[in-house]
Amino acid sequence: MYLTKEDEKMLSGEYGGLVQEAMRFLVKLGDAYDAERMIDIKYSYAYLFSREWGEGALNVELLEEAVKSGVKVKVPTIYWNYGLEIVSPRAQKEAQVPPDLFKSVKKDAELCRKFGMISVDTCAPFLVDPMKRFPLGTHISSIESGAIVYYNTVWGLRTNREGLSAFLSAITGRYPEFGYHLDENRKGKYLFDVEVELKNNADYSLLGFYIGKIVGDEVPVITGIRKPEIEDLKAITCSMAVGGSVTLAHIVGITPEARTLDMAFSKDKAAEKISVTQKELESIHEELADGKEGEEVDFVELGCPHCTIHEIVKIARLLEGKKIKEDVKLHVQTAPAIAYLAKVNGYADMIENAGGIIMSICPVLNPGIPGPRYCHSHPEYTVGNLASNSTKAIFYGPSNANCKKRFLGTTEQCIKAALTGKWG
Amino acid sequence: MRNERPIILKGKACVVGTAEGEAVVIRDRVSLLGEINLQKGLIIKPGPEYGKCIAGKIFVYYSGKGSSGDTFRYWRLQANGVQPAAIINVKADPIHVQGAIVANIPMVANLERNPLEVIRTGNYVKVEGGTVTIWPKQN
Repeated sequence: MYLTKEDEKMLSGEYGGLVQEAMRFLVKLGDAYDAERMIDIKYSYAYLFSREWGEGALNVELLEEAVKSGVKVKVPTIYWNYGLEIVSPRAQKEAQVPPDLFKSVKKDAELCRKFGMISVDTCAPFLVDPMKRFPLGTHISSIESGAIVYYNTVWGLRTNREGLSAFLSAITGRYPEFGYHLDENRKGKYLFDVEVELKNNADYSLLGFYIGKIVGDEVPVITGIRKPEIEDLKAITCSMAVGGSVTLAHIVGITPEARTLDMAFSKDKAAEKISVTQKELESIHEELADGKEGEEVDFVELGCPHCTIHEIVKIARLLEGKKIKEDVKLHVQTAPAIAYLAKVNGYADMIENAGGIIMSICPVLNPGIPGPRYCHSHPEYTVGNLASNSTKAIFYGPSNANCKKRFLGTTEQCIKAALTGKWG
Repeated sequence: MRNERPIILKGKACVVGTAEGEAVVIRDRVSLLGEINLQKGLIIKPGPEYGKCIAGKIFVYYSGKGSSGDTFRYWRLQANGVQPAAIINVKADPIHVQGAIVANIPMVANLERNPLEVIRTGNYVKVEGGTVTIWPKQN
């Protein structure tokens, strides 16, 4: 791989051990994909989670040493540390955050502040930090499978599926040029024509899952979607990364690189059209949700991915003056910054007075939370029968939250289930 | 049928290294989150390999999927002493490549033939850089 003089300096250890190991890691990653050079990134969504770091060349001691010597991130960097459960006593109690985890979160927050990073603690960071305006095609480095698809598809930014690399590229400002950073890998492979009218964001979630399942890790091109709301785009992009491992989709008329159908494909390649009708959405519904009308619901999960403030207002209005059924849990998941808006506007109280709770972690996908309410490490706990408007929540329900029956429907259907304790 | 001749496949070494052992093959994408028990290295993904252990084995699967937190999970398997000896994928998912880099587990992908059609669970397999040698089971 071609390295600049500055890259070589980082690699030689001139800027300390962390920068050196970060660069070594990025070179190895680039070599795995035959990258020819490093490129500058302009933004990063990262995680640190130092409690998860293992032994080896890259280790926790390097972090402390780097902070002491004044190492900073090279680009604006937001990150995921923990969430509302650290700032809200109510959410803290609900999540049963163990003291040692609390301590490590605080330690990471201190480290990250010294690196110059900003915690946003959300699976929908594009809701919280849309302040940076990037030109089309800007290279960034992002974690969070759903957000990665959103950045590529809706904002026209370029990122691969990143992990620890997001932090390491923020520290160096560099990333190996491969995958979705290159024009030739961003062209469409499959064409989906959406004939069915999408009525709510559960439909968008089913559609995304269906597309992901067919394309795997290839690039789908989607026509027939008109005037989607931000909530709809959040639902479809996220679910493509659950049904499959999609990184980029071209939603014709929405994706900046696909203003027209022709722009989405390479000149010499045409794809066979796959029509999406009600039947396809129903087939995914049937595959994921086995609960029947009239059956009991124990846990209702909304906000997968995290709610916008507008979704929270809608939920609060549906709950106004009502009480959810005893023993039923209603989790409304959002970013701490949006929870703050909900709080100061009185919508959080409306939800909580009805018996719901606003959280930012979730029972099905969370950063290694060992609390007994969360099941990765506590297989004896179950959320019971789970209802959601999200295919992601429902898909991961059995493996990650030991859920039993699964119900998938609109926000209204989910709220009704929380109020009555029954589906339908 | 006795098959004395090993099959040799060339591919791309994503993490360069040498390892050998028995293969465990999952003919699908794998998420370490929710599909592998990280304490014991057991496969908890529903399917024919459910309950098998990947510790010290040549772990063969289609590719990674899902959680970007999987970067940490080969490290975790290593900390628990139950990491695979090597990884063979059809396609290399960047998240799993990163996991293999930090835990220093040899990893190969993009082989000239689909490894899921050549390697069976229980076959003896050797990984040396980008070269994979397979000894089909002798009866």
